[in-house]
Amino acid sequence: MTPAPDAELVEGLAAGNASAYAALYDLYGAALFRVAVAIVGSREEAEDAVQDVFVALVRAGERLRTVRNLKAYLFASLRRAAVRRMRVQRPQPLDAAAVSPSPPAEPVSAGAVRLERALASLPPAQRQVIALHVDGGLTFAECAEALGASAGTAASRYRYAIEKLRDALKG
Amino acid sequence: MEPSALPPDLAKIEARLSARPGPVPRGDHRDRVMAAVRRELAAGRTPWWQQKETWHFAAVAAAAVLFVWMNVAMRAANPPGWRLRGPGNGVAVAQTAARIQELVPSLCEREARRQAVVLHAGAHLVPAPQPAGRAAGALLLHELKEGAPWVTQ
Repeated sequence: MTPAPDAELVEGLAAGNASAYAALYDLYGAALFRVAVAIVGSREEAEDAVQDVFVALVRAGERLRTVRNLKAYLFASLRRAAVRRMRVQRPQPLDAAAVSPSPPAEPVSAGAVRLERALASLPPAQRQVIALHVDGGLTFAECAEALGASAGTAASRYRYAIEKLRDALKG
Repeated sequence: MEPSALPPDLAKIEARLSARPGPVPRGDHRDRVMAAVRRELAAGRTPWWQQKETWHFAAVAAAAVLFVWMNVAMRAANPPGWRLRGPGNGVAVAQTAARIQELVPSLCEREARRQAVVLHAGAHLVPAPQPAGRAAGALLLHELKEGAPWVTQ
């Protein structure tokens, strides 16, 4: 995404324009939801976490004008909201039903279930970086901003996570 | 997603992750989010005197002011007046010590002063019930009957 549309969107959000929030949902809503499901492991909690992000954006108001990278800001906000929700309610282990499209269009394969189980067994920090990079489509620099870490840390965390998944799927 | 320089076996896992079907929110999720956004936007446009938070803050602030005022007023109305030091107290102790030495010349000056300080300290004590209650009272009576050597009339 080029910076210009984001700048326009930020301007609309800061001005409290409801249509800007609708446009933001259309642009990032699905990705935010996917990442939220990957972090909290529950559809209901993920939907609430996404809603928390939008409410927090409205409350931020004029402060949004200082945001340099809207996408990274959004996903950082989502990560905080999801972690807050996980503290209130312990995360459920991810299962194929939670991450498959709703309603399930076709039976989930055994390989997909194994992959989701392996994902669920990862430490939260590694699961988050996979969710942000794969499900959210963030670059490692954006992942780093969302995670509050360096880009190198985000990239190496991602690599360790993938290695763990490979080992888990082998076994 | 930026291209990652992963070895082939890891790249295969990454491809599997990317290819898995992503969950999608329920159909009414967008409406729910937008309704929450509109509620928040409306709350932000409410004048400050009509906002719940304003009155909550005002109530807390008023309670804090009242609490401080009550403490200051009570302190002003009931000065503790410990009279622990000061020239008058020192003179009184010295006079008492002199009187003790007159009555008991065998006491050294230091002991007479100590006794005087103890007397003055005790003179302002408010009588209070024994913390140990009945058991301590019963023990005292028993010792009185037995004629404990420390009991004086």
